[in-house]
Amino acid sequence: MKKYFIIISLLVISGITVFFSCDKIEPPYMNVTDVSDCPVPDFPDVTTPEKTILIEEFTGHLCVYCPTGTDYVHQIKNQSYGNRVIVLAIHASGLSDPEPGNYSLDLRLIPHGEELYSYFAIPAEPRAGFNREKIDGTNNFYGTPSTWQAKAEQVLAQAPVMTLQIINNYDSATRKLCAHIKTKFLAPNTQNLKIALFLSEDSIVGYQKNNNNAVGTMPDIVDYVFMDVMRDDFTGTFGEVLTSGSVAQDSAVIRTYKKILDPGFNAKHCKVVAYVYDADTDVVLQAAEEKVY
Amino acid sequence: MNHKHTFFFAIIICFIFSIGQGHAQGLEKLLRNSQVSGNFQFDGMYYNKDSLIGAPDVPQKVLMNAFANINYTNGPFSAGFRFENYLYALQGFDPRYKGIGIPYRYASFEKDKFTITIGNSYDQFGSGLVYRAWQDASLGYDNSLDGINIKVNPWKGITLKGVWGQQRFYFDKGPGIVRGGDAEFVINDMFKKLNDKPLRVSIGGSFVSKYQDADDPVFNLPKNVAAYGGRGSISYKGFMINGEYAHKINDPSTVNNRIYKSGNATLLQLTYAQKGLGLYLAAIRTDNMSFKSDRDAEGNDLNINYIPSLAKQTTYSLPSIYTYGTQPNGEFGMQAQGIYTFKKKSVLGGKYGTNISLTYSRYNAINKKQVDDDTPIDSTGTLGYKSDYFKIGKEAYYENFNFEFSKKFNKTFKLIVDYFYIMYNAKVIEGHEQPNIHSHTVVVDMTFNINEKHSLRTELQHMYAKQGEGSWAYAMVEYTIAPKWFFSVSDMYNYGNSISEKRLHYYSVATAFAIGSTRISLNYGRQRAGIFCVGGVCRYVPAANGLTLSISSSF
Repeated sequence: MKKYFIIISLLVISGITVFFSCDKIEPPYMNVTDVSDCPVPDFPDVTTPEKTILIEEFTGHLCVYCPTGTDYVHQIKNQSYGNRVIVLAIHASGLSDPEPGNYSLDLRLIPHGEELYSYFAIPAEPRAGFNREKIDGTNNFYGTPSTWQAKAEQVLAQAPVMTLQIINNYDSATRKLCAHIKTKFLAPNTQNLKIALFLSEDSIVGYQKNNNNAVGTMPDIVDYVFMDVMRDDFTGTFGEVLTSGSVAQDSAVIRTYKKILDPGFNAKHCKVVAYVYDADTDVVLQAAEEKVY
Repeated sequence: MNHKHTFFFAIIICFIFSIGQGHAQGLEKLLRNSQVSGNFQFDGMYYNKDSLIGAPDVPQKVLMNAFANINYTNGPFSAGFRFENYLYALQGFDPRYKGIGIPYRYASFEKDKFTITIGNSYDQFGSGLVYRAWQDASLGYDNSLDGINIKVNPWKGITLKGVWGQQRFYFDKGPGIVRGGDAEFVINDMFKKLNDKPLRVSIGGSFVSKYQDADDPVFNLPKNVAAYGGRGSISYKGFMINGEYAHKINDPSTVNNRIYKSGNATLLQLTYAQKGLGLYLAAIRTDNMSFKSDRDAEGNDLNINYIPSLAKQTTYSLPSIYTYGTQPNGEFGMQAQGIYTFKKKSVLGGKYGTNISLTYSRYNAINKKQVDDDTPIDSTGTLGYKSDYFKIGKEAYYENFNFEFSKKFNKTFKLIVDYFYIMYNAKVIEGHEQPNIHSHTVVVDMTFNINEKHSLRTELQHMYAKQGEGSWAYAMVEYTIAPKWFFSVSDMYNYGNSISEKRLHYYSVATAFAIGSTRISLNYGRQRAGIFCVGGVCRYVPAANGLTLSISSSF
């Protein structure tokens, strides 16, 4: 009996110890980033609003089909769409894992890339989404290269529902980046909208697997130039609430974000990518990008 | 293969054999008492291109899932592991299931009323509202806890449990640590005088705390989050009532949009059973009760708890199109079921008896109100919302009415007739922006036992619906030559789809062959896109067209 009493007592004590292992958080729940050292600039008026498109390209340096996929994306971008096409190359899944030797370059943004890969149930690379609109006749947001051109044209033909502008202020001495965004609604809106901001980097050189000699040497492209690589985030994987409920036409939201740039990034090749999306359907309504400086 | 796992088993095997090598008799005894058991499952599919049904392109052409469980027992000692192989995983399974490894291994022994398990373990506290570690290969679900699991029965009728570890996360472990304990007291078993009383009472309580580091520049996040609950059960003759209440403190996460409201869940069940009659009434209310060991996890990843589903489940193809998936952020559900068996040799019972059952289940949102005039519901970094416990939300998530008639007419013929009415809120359950779906389905399931070896079963199903994919028809014929052969042909026809190009046939031809406990099956056909659910836990299955080979075996 004494033995059991001791056992029960010990378990109860252990239980109480664990039970009180909880942290009750009192308001305020969020640390608002101090952006007082980021004065908000004047945004120029947008005289001719245009629909923009966010291409989220899932890729990886071990993916042999991916250089061909990226080539498709660049062809779309280089067509006469001007700056209406914004690309975010998301290096995710095992095909992006760094390996000892030539493939040691790590272009993944953990955990954000994997979270997007998982959330959109990407089955393999290359895949690309166009404003996260469903590929015709499927439930998939992300399609294979054969679907991309048509989807891009279809999305770009839509009328814009808002404008989205970015102005960056960068201090190269301290590597402090202030990113200011402004959205203006061109029509009343009742959607639950979120805004997501990422940092992308161009012109990173490394090895890339390849099986198409039209786009590079096979089986490895030794000096492949990676563009639009998703490198860092400002708002987490799925962004933050922009508006919730009714918003009147011509309403505007201005926000400022601040970040000290990672010393491993070449600021000259970095861009801030922002997009606004419907939190209920995931569809991107408008996107923008702007060089850090 | 994970070398840590290999090392772990090498130690166990060396330990066992080192005992034997030193003592020949010991070795003989060891071998005499040893028992090894296991099972194997392989599912591989060759994917055809089929843009009509929206089947995604599969660059690898052939995908596969395979696993094998090997268990060793020797008296009070047991150990085992599960080998898993996904190269690559079948469509519809999370692509993070990739590679080969031994993500599950354990060793366990029983001594002095203790059962101690090290390695991975599955367990459940009460109905699972605060803790359930379980696995379902068909769902691709496995949240086993890698650590220690201690169970002790210090006194007859008392069971104490303790767990401490990290959860499985594909071929890795989740970042959080899970600690928990549970105590259950079966009052009648504890006191001799009460042993044979018809009134039986048991009570229990459990608590679980998770720890995850937090270094977020924006949010003040709790590193330790606890959930706890109490439960009780009273039964008297054919009646039984049981209930459980669970509470969780602030747990801002991706699933709840990082709100700081506490969560709670209540489950109540009432059953009555007597010969020929069974009644079941249950209700569940959950409010912000997603509890994961990683605050950033989504979907089915790293669930610590489990929210039972009260929605009627069926194996019939057409009503299964609209299956309910539990909503951890909040739901109010209920189920009422009655089963009656007409006595044999009565007018309605006939020679073999007749069964009828009626089931009604419904899910609604919970009531949510703004915390103040300026803060929209579910706003990040706030308390999220207020909820009146006894008010049911207006939005209906799911409704299911089912009537089933089952009768064996004679030695050769058995008939089952089912009717289902299902209301399905696809926006909430699947995230599709579309009107609620109202479907009416009739199923006729007939089995003809031609002789002792040969039987023929056929299913005819029709679903009428105006919304969603519209109406469907289904027919299936199954021929079994016991105990070895099985053949089936089926077709699901979406003839009522409002888009004429989508009025497609989802045909399937299958055969299976069994040798002892080994079964090999081949299936060729189309699979529609949709969700597949077990007990309210769901995964999305994309459309597919191809040849599937399955092999299962056990020893």
